[in-house]
Amino acid sequence: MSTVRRAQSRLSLDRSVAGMMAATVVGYGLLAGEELTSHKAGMVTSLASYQSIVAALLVSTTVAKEFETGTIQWGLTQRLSRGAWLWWRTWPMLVFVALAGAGLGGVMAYVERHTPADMVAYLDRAQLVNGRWPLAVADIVLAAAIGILVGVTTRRVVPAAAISAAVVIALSYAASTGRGSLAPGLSVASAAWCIGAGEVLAAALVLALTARGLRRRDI
Amino acid sequence: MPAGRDTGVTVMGKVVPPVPEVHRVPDVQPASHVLLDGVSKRYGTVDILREVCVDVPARRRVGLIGVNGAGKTTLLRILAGLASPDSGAVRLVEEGGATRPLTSRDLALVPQAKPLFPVLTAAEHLALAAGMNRGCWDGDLPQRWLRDFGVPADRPAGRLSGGERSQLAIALALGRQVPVLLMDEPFAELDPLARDDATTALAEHVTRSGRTLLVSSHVIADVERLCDRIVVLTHGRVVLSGDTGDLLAGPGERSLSDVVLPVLRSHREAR
Repeated sequence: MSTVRRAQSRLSLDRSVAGMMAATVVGYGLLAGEELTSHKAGMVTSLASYQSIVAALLVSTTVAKEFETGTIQWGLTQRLSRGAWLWWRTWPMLVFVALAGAGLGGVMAYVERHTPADMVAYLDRAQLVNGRWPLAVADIVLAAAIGILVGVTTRRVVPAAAISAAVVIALSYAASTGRGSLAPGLSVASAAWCIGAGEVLAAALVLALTARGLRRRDI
Repeated sequence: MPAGRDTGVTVMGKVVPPVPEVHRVPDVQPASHVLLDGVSKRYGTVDILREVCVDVPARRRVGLIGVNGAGKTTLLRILAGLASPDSGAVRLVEEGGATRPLTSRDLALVPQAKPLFPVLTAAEHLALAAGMNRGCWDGDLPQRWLRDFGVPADRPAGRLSGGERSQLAIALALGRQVPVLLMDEPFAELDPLARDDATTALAEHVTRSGRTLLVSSHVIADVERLCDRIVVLTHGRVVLSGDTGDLLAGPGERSLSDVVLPVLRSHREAR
């Protein structure tokens, strides 16, 4: 790994951050084991939103810290546009968060008995898309985008943490109570794919708005 | 190639002999003249800058002096593109007379707070900056600067002293091969010896490389050592500007303090 990549990794994924995200994946793995052996059905799915909160906290505080410590002033006077800086500063974290989301999705798929082996075996029955795991990934992507928006808007670590957590908890609650009525005619799996795609689109919109807002504001 | 590149240059009245090739900036920067034309900035109900017109001629070392809250940092932030003026414009006049807006690609900034990443070492900061500035980065100059001023390259920035952090921030700015250098109180945390050496080295570097420098400082002696032109700001207005040689030509004015302090006092009393 080059010195630049190593430095960027150390900036975006210090030990506490990496440890926090790894702990969530391991924790969900343990929960999955518990769910499979103790008949505690639905535990992983019902607790999946916590990983989104962790992702939002992680991303929002990292972005807000750039403003609070002033390092953004250095970043924006290099050969980078503001949008490019935002991407440069957050992409390793976003990749890590997405991987953690995929890990959680995998755990969910497993406890719902849609293991990769099952999926391959039942390809002809279109079981490949079954399960609610796409929602876990989409939730985390949207939470990370909200984290970036809140970090850029508040520019302070503590308010960013508080607001991003509150927003993601509120969205998660609204979604869990409203998902049934959002797509009543669809199966659980189809609804998960539709709502998940909507969340990813919303995340893209949030990121575009954030980059646009950042271009117009004083630092 | 500007005159003096091979025959030595004059810094603060002394002829500095030619330096070995290793100490040279690879490319002399194109002449870039910076103009602030009627720039105003207001935060809430407070006018920070009021129709400020500042002329930073190409390849000159301009000192920005003013009392606390005079608007020096805001002026530098506007020049760096970190804040936008409410009115007025910032322009760059290139060699040949073409005029265009000044952008972050033309300049390097040493911010007042010297923001650095605490977990990264000085060497990692330089590597990161090199990666972000491919094609306009001089890897040798900042390393030499850190070595000359005894800044440990392998220590995280969070464990460097204030002076060492300042030297690292200056080195990061010098490494960018851009025509305009902006520095906001770069020497504030340096000890007297390092301050003297840094101002001399910076003056020599800027003169040799043909860059344009705008530096703010509360220490008039630093500005006198480093700059050949000054701009004095009070309460968002330019109250004095000119070449140091002209300002010191008056009878009884032996130092810049003799010129600047009476101006600052008179404006304070007028308010």
